[in-house]
Amino acid sequence: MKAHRGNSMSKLLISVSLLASFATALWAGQAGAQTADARTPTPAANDVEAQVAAEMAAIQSQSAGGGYASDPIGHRRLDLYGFADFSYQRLLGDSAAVTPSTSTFAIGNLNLYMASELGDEWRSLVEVRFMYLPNGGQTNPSLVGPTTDTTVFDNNDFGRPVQWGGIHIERAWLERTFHKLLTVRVGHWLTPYGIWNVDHGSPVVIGVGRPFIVGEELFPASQTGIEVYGTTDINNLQLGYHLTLSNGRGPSPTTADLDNNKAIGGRLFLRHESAFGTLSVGTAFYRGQYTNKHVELGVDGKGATTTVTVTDSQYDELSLSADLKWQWRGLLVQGEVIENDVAYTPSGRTVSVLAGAPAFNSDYRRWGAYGLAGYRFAFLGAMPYAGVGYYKEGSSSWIPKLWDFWLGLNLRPTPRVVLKLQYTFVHFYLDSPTPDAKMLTAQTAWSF
Amino acid sequence: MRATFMRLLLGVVGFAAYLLGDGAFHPANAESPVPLAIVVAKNSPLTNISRYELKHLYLGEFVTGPDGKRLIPLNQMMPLRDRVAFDAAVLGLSAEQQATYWIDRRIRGLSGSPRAVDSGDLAQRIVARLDGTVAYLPVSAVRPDVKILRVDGKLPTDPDYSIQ
Amino acid sequence: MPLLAAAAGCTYDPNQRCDENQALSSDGRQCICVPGAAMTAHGCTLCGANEIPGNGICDCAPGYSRPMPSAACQAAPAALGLACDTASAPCTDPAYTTCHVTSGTTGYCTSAGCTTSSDCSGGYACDTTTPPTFCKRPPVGAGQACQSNAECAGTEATYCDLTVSHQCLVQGCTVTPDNCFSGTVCCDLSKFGVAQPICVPPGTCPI
Repeated sequence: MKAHRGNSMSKLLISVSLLASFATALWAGQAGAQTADARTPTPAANDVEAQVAAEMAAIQSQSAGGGYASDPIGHRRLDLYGFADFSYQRLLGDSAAVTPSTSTFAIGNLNLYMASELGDEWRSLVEVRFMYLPNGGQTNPSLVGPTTDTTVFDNNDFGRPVQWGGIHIERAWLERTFHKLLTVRVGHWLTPYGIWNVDHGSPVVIGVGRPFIVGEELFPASQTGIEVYGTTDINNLQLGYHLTLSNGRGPSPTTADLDNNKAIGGRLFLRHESAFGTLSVGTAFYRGQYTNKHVELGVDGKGATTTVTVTDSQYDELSLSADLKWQWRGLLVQGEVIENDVAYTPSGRTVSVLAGAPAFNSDYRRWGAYGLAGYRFAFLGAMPYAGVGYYKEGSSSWIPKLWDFWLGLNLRPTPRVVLKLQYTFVHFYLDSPTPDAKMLTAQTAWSF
Repeated sequence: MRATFMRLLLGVVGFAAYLLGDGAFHPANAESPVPLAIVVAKNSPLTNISRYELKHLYLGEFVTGPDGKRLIPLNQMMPLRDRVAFDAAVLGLSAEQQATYWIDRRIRGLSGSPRAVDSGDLAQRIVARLDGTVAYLPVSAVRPDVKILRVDGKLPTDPDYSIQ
Repeated sequence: MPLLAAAAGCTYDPNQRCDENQALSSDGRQCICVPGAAMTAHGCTLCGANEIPGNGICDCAPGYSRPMPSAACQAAPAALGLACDTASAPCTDPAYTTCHVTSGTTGYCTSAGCTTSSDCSGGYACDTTTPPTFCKRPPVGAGQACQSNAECAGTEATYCDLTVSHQCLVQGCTVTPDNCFSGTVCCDLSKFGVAQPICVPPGTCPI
């Protein structure tokens, strides 16, 4: 009997191990199974020649410009794609007491890209973010007060209420590549600094949101003007640059430069590939002047209507950054350090919003850094990650300093779907005791 | 009993090793490696390309030939065997990883993947007639109207040729 | 990088984080006006002699007044301008025996019989529009900085000029005869939407 039981147990264990091995082989072999060369009957020679001709025409039209050779009207393909994300966020502990929303679902981003290869190395990209904002948003930067309500009554639906949203144009540019070392881009583009700002989209970034210092825009997230960039390769080393000239920051930087003082910027980076992976290091700078002004009407001593320009705010600024990214097999390590100096002009210093006697904002220097590390496994593309950040705001801010920590899991079961779960802890250094912010966020981001 | 336990342990360790792996693609049912030749037009001034350049050409970057003209890479459709092998050998990417790469690249606002055609034979027929194009296919299938490039100075027939 | 570091120094100077007439607050987070400087829209203006920081401008110190908005503050004799009531509190100072009524029976003490403003002191001007002539007090509140008419309420200058000066001005004057305080003229800007004529510095009336 004992021997019989022993044999049964052995068979069971063997079956389990075989099943596990089989499952392993099945998973690993999925793609392998897909690589089976699906041989189809050889098409007739004329069919092949027609295919060759069609492909050549498509390639030539794309590279030479104009319409497709076979299309006299000159239709051009517009690529539409994008990404979106949906989150659940729950505030934990004492931090739940500082906001009316402690547990919420939310659509974060819904971004549509419209890209077109215009031929002859011309390319265009427009990205628009569709938002439920301004509904539910606040116009007060301290987030105090009632939220915006965009409810209107739809004439086409028996006057039933509907809430309208808005759009944010993330970028709109045209570029041409003249040489590997020279591409000229004009329009509204993302500022080429660091890692996160360029990664940009929620399916690409590892965490559920931007690091605090990136969100504070020590560099402007985007600019309107001209960008020039290029790269060169020396063996396994790539050296690249960006130079920018723009309207800089302002109340409406995409449409008006209120100070006729263009902002300049640039970035240099190195990328090295070796047996130890790919290491990229870079540095960037931005120098500009922020101006907010308005015009008032008046009457001069001769009775003529005249205009008086009133400066509401004006400051010079300089931003510097350094970044590093190392990828080796599944390992990812990245970090950025960013600094921003602000010096008000004599006619542009603004009144401080801090409590106390009336005063002005002082010139300030703010800086911050973050570090992130994670490892991407093959199983479901799972990447556990952790990060830490530090931020020291200029002394004129109501948040002089903070540090944060985040721990999470990023899953990418398919290339187009990303699932994230992240715990975030933020400690504020404020004048009055403030509970630490602790939150748990689950997010799904997808590209389409 | 001990043997059974060892088999089970090996199964578990093997499974865990896969989980902890970096996701590099290793076809479970790989046939004998087939050298993939990199081909260009017969009259192309290009005779040699570095593995680095080849990789970055197929990752969407701007790579030029000796004449300064931009090279146009031609891919094969997924999931053709040659495409999968090329991605693994040159790009170091599995099917999922290459898809992820191109999705992320487009979200960053960069260009998309190279044009893909139905077969290596179709690709080389295009290469033969269109200056500046580059394709890959098994060396045994190379037609006489295209030229095989050396990769890091090595031909597909060399014993230590790395693209297969 | 050295160039950028140098540029950083040019942009932000940790030892000079405020403008002229400003000082860093004790917590190092704000720029406050130095003692004796008035806080304006974007900076601090150091007040002159006999002036004290006011709401956006330098006001006259107690006991001083301006004959016109842009004039220097002049000392007023203690008895000049004292509140009085013709029924119950007459002026007792021998130099300022006239109680000029401004409302009902109340007013302020001044002198009468002047011929020119040089006969008056403390920034007062000789009002010769109606006999007997007397030394008229500058309008209370005139020249005070304002952002709306509400900030001028309760003074004798109840109109806030939001177009040019951003100061409280006297309104309701008559162009003919011009009964504005000396150093100002009555200006009818009704065609520009100003409801009542206002007293403005000479040379600034477009009509």
